[in-house]
Amino acid sequence: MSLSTALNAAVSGLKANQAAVDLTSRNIANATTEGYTRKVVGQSNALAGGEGIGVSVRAAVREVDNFLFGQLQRSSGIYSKLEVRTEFLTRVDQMFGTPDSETSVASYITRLGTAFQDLATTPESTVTREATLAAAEELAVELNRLSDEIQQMRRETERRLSDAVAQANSALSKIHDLNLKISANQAGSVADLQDERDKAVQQLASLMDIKTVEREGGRISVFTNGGNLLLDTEPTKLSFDEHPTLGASSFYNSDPALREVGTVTLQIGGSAAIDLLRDGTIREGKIAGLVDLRDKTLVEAQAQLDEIAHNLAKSLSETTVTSAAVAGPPAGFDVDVAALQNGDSINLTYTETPGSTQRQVTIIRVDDPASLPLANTVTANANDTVIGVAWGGSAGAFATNLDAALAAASINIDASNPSGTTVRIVDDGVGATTDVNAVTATVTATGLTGAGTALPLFVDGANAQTAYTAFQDGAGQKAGFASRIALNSAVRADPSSLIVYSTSPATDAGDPARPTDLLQRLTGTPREFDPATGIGGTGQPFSGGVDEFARRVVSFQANEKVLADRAFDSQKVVQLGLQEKVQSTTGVSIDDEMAQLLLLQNAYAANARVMSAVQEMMSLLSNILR
Amino acid sequence: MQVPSLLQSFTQRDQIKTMQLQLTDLQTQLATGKKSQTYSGLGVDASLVLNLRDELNVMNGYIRTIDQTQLRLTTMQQGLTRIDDIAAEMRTASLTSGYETLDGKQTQLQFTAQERLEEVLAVLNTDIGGRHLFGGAATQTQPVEIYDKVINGDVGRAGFKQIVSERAQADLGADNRGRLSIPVPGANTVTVTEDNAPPFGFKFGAVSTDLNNVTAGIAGSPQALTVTFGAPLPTAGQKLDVSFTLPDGTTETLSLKAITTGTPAEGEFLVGADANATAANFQTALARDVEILAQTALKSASAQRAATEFFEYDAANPPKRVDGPPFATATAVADATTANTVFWYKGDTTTTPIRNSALAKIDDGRTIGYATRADEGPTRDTVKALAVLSALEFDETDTLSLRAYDATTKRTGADFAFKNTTSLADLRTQLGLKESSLATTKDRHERTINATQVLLAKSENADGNEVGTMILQLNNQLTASFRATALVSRLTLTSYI
Repeated sequence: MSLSTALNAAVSGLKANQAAVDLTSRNIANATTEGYTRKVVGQSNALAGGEGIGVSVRAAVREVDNFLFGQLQRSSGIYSKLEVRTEFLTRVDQMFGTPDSETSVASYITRLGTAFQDLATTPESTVTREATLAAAEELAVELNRLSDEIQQMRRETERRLSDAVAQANSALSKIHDLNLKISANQAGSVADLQDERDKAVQQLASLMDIKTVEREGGRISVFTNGGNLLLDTEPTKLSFDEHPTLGASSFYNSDPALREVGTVTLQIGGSAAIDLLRDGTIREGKIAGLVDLRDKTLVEAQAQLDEIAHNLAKSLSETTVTSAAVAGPPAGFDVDVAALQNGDSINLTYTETPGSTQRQVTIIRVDDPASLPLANTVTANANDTVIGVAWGGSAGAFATNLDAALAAASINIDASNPSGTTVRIVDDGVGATTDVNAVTATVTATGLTGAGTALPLFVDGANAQTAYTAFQDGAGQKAGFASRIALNSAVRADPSSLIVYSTSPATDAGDPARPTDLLQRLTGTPREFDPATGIGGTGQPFSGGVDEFARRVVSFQANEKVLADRAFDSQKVVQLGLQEKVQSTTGVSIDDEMAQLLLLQNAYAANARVMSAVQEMMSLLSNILR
Repeated sequence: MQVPSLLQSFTQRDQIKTMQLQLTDLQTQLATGKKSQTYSGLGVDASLVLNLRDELNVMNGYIRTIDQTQLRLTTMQQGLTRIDDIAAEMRTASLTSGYETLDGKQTQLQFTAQERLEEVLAVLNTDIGGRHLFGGAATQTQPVEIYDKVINGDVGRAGFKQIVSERAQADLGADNRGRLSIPVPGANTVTVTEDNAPPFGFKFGAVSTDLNNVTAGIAGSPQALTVTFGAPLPTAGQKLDVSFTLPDGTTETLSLKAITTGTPAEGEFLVGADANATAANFQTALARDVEILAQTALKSASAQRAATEFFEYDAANPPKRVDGPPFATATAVADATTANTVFWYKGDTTTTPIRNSALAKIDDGRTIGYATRADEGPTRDTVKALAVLSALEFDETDTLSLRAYDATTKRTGADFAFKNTTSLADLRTQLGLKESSLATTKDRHERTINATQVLLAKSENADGNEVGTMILQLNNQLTASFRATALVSRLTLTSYI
């Protein structure tokens, strides 16, 4: 015990105070810095041989709640996913314009309907004919625009996915760098490095859902929520093969040969790359949100537009070929397939005995046998069996293929080609287990006259104005049809074809039959719509006029937006609450720091006072000795 | 737990931002008068608004159709009213007209008929906006030919006048005996035989007599009338009646009364010395009276029949004309062709019922047919009667002209009265019913539109008062928030040490 010990203690006190003031000043300076956590200085009684010799200062540490951080990470993932979803759905909703301006695709269809109505009243008026053509053209152009916008959005998601993956990679390498620095600096203060690392983790968490695990030496390892290791001692590399030209018929497929959009892959060392989208590893975060939009939400929106375009073209151009009864036995029907084009169908109804069960079969002509067999969902009708039959080049080959296909489907009905383009469909004769009730062919009119009042007003514009038959070859003609649908240029060149459906006898220019029928086809006759559009169920498909379906599409998308908004708003509350909580527990409070500063000032003054007291005592002592 | 600074209070900042966004949105609502600029902004009402707007468009489409149809029906009604007036005028004139020619061949009435026929044909060619109203489904061609062609024909194509003349020759025969062969009897029996020309001339109906010892009967094919005289001879005042069916379906009865002295006038025959002489006298009298009847009633009936054959036809049954020349000995009618005959009506003849050849869809699932055709009963019959009057000529020098003229006006007078057939008034009533149906439907549509608009406004339009109140409230809230925030932010130690 000596005065010098007291002096030393006072000095250590001063030093500690200086360090504390230094920290406080840094806290205050960084009060608004994002990701900065409040640092506190660690002090302890300095001991020498069991005796206190002053105060010792340890490295500054942070006060954080790791559980809260984990919660915030998860919440950020969900938040970012919903945020990007809301952003895109807002744009989809806005595509349909304002409600009072009637610029939605449904309004365009209504206008085409009223144009048909006007035309039925004054068929002879060239002005009304032109107006009808204009309405039809506007509708086609609007569908093209909507479809292009949807695909534009999909291309944007693709580009942003590419950016997001790059950001994830940079966050991962940043975490890796900081991991290295933290483990190298275990002796000193790593609090600020940890702040930086937390920021990088947070950034990664908002891109994709991850888990972090603390390792020895202050390192952390990062895993995807599905369990793929993203970072341990070395960062792995995420990559994204951007397909900048993706279109309406480009879809994700787990088979890389068939995949026409980009995917997120994870490369670890020399092993094969893992497709993270195939495994569904990324469920939250901006990346998950973008993938969801690209592969589901926007694909569904496109499917809805395609379904509108499909039914628009089909409803106006479909015409029925009747069949002639064959007395038999075996009894059945003869149907002429001369007009049956690729994609057109033959509808067969038969009764199965015993049980008297009536069954429907839709036989679809397919030109590319590689597309066989067809899925039952090719038609929206829930009660029919779809059988795709290869055309084979002639009615004879078609009949042979049909016979084989019916046998393969265990349907006891035979098909043959008695002559020319006739296909004969008969029951099993003496077997009496089946009875053919009806056979008709539904074919697509291609000419402007000669197919009754049906009119191919809309055609596949991009494919050189070919008829739209919804053929099944490749991705199918329906995929992306909304972006290709066009007004038939033959009708455009001859507006009288809106009226004239027969050349012999010649249709009177004032005959309302065709426009009346077209109106009925468009809005009157109910059609069934593909449940793959998200509207209607597989067992009970949405049924109604084309205009009705279009209205349903607009309200469906509006509702999607409302739902997304609602989810986003509630997640926002959670996210903001968590952020605020993190801030209030780990952030800097100026008031606290100021109070701390006051204390430090007082302590500093006290220590200084101790030193001056020691000095006085020392000089007193030397004066005594003098 | 520490109190976060304003900077750290994310919730509060977000709330203030939300309030500011709401304020902007409310200002937009105030400016546009609409609740939302997107469908999603309407929430659950989006689907309702879409359906209501569709309904409005469809209803307006129906109303346009109704307006257009009403215009057409009104025009038709005006035309038919005029034709009806003409028919009424001609009916009265027919029944009061006396035989007094203006040019030696035709009377004042006939000249009027020509004018009126010209007018009726013009009315039937009415078009409105390039659409002919009296041609059924054929709206783009003039449904009827003009007067001159119908009556006088065209180059190489016969008009009604020629048809009447041919038919008159065929009906009357070269000897004006209505295709009856009335030879001089060889003994006491007079035999009168119809020419073997089924569609032409007189056809025997029945014969009755109270002449003493006379047997009269009609038999055979072609029919022949035999009258056999015996002794004692008929006494004066006894008579024989024989009735004929004329080509227009009317019947005429010829009576011959026995006289014993003097010269027999029309309707009389002289009883001779014995049965043979009486038979000879009877033949002379009969031939004389048949010739008179042929040039009066038969001439008129023949023209009526010619009118029916010329004016009444459809796609399956073309007009008929006498298969000739020669016409006086013709034995059949032949189908006319467009190459040799003027077809007065060129419009649609196939659609049935006629009304359905023009359809108007005026409501969901409701269509009305409102077409008329010039060859529809009432208008066609008017044209026929007018054409008969226009085409026939009654030569002043011919002493029988007066009687022929009277037989004609009697018939046309009946035609213009539409006895036992659909009249113009009936047709107008039918169309009138359509008109009133259109008017009530339009009225209903307009009420629906009003109701729809009210509903639409409720779902779509922003309520000015509500928006104003909300703006005020938000304004207050924002002001209070700002003030409180300012107060709180000043409460920091920094200000006090």
